[in-house]
Amino acid sequence: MAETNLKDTPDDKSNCAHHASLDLPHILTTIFSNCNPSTTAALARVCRTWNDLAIDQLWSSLPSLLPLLRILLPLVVVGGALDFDRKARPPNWKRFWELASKVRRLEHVDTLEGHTTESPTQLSGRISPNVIPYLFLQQSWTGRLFLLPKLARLEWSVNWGYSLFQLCHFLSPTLRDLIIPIGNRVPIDQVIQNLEYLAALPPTNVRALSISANYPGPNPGVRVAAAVASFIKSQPTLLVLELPSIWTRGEIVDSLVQHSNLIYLDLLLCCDTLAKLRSLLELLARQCPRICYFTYNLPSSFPQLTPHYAIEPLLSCRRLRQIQIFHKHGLSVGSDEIKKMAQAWREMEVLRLCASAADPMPLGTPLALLLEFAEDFSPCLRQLALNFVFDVELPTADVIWASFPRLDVLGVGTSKPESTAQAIVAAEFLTAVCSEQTELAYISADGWRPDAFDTVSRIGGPLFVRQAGVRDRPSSHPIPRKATMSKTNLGVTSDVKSNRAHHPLLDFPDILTIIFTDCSPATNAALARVCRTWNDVAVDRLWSSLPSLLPLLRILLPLIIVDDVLAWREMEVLRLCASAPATAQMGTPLALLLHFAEQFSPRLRQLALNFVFDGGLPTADVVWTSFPRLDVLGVGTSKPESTAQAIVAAEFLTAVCSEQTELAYISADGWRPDAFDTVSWKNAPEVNHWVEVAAMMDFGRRVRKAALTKAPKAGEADSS
Amino acid sequence: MSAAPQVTLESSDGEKFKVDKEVAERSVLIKNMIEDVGESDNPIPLPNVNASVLKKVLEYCEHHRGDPLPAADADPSNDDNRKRATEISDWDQKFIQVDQEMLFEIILAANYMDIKPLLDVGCKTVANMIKGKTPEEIRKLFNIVNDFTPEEEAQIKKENEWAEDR
Repeated sequence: MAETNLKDTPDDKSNCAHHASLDLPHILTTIFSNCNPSTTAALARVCRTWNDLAIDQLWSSLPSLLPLLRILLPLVVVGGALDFDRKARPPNWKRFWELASKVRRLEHVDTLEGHTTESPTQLSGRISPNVIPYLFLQQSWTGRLFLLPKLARLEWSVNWGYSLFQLCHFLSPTLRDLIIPIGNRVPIDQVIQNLEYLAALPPTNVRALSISANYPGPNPGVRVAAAVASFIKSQPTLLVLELPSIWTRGEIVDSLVQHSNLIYLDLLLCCDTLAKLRSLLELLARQCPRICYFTYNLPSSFPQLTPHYAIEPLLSCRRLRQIQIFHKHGLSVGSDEIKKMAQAWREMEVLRLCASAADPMPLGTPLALLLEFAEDFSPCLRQLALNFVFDVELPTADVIWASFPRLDVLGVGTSKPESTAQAIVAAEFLTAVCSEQTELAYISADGWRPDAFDTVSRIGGPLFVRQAGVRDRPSSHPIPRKATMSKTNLGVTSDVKSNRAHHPLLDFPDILTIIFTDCSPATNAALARVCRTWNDVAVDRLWSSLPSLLPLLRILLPLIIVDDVLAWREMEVLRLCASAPATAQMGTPLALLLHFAEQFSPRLRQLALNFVFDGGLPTADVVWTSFPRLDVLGVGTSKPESTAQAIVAAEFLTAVCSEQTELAYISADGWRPDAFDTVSWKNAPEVNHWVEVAAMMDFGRRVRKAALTKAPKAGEADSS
Repeated sequence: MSAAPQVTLESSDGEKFKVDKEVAERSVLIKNMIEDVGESDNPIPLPNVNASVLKKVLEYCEHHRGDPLPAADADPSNDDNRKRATEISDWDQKFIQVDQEMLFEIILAANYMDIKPLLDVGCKTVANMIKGKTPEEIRKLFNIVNDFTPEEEAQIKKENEWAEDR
């Protein structure tokens, strides 16, 4: 095998081959998937084998549409936008479509200002209104349905009104994730007009939709919300909906009429009263009973919440696994409510209820009630965050009767212990209730004092203090995404590895099944390799429908070729000039029928040839093989010369064919039905050349007259 | 039922290695073999792995014997598990500092024996070796024959210019 020699000059390279593992696509793909785009671009130039894999990977995820456009023609600036330079050279359509068909993920950002120059490395840009119609013209001529036929994830950032319209060209049935960040410089009327236009298009198969538009304040925002709501209404396949910055008074919830499958929802609610909030949540619970992940954010002007308005309407959503409520005034939860929540939400994993109240006098939940959470909630609970307040009396560590078995994060809010002594008591209590892996999140600055926990953790258990992991959303900053949509795209390798966890949606078998059902077998085969959870779902899907038995056999042991493979293993209908006119002399000896029976696979259902008689037919008792399931046997036009011969033939046919076989023959001067008559009944009634052998032969075979009875033509055939 | 159960593995060149079953079962291939045939004293043959490579692979398995099986104990959403999956730990980094021939042999063996974390470590190491190199350097590094004409290579470079510096 190869030697490791970095000193080799290119000239004597031919003497030593590269290592065998570098020929295995599986290993190469694993290696390439750990490389960034610039390295992958270099890999594409190494050799042809690597080129294929590297180009596939590189072009599966594009940071901009411009590189693809530049494959076709150079770009020039026309009227502040980028257009094709059509005079530059003949457009390279072949390569353009090749690469277009590889794109699975696309991000594109247009620019705030118009263009003045074009450089081939520039990635963001406004695309001229002339560009896509030009592509469409060629596309329709060549019978292509979509510009990017495999596009699964699209992030289309809009800073220019026309860009939002251009989005319509990419809404293909393969698209699953759609992310539309809208800049606040785009005139609001253009946003509304284009969203309404998109809403009028045929529905797509988008599963995850995220729209953000940072218009300040509810008033312009609510107008956008109405347009967003009509777009959502037109997308009944949605499972995930993220609208964390669209101010909605309830239009969005109203629009979720066909979305009973929705499982993930993130909203910014700006309704006016507690009663309105409650009725919105009730409506939501009715329309989306399967919701698993629900987040809502309330503006600071909204009055103080109580569980009656903010939580109770959601108790009927039994599948909730994550609920996050953000409101600056905090929330106080009582012992009864904890019990109700725990009973309703058996699968709750993440519970964050106004944890980081920023109000000077926020509502809070007594810290002692943490014990009730530990007692009542299922072991699924991994993250819990509330604004806890101190009670004077905390149970001491030795009388604590419940603890969290696997809580990962506990958020304790903003209120502070009043003295170090109190902090130590609290810390001891927390140490006893939490488990070893629990990280403590608190709102710093004037919140919980880390030094208190320092003291405890050094003495007692390994309780880590983490600074405000569970922080509220500061309204002036872009909204932090806890679970980003970027993880929901499937089967696409991203070169930018992130430490963030994947979307919790992707652990949910019901959802995976829905998603995978739309995927081709090849994709499912890839999905099966993604992780164990996915494997289960994808393998179920993949093996539910097999194109052949062979893959299953190969699971047991490898298969080898033992003998010559017959050419047509799957032949079902074989008709070879069966209805030759009686004058034609070409025919196959009837005795060879046995070889057909022997050699062809059991799939053969129809066989038609112009058979001719040979003198010697094997008699029924020495016939060694037969067709297991032949439906129709066409026997052509030549005639037995005598009744005796016909009887021999009929007996032979009876033995070779199976019970269900129908016999088709060219009548008039062809096979003599009376011959078969003779075999079955001695004196069968003859009906107009037709003999129903089903009635005639005792095992129920039927003779059928050829479809081309009247004018048998040379070449084509008989029974239909 | 005294000590931990052990199995014997036999390399392609006939050398036998006696290891704890728990260690050997880091390899999904071996785990499945043991499940299929049951435990026995007969050595398990590994005809595609020679002794020096197998020794190295077993060193890895021994060090990671207690690790949760990848994604088996669920929860890939956990940040820590995730981090573990995307970074090479210090020990692994030291372990994988071998010559190129051995590195590829380990990758092949990990692929054959179905030890996913080891395959990942190997492939990531190769990816690190490649990072930032020109095609010619990569060809030299791995003895790969350039089957492109200069024009073809220039064309590919132009087509993928957008990816540079990314």
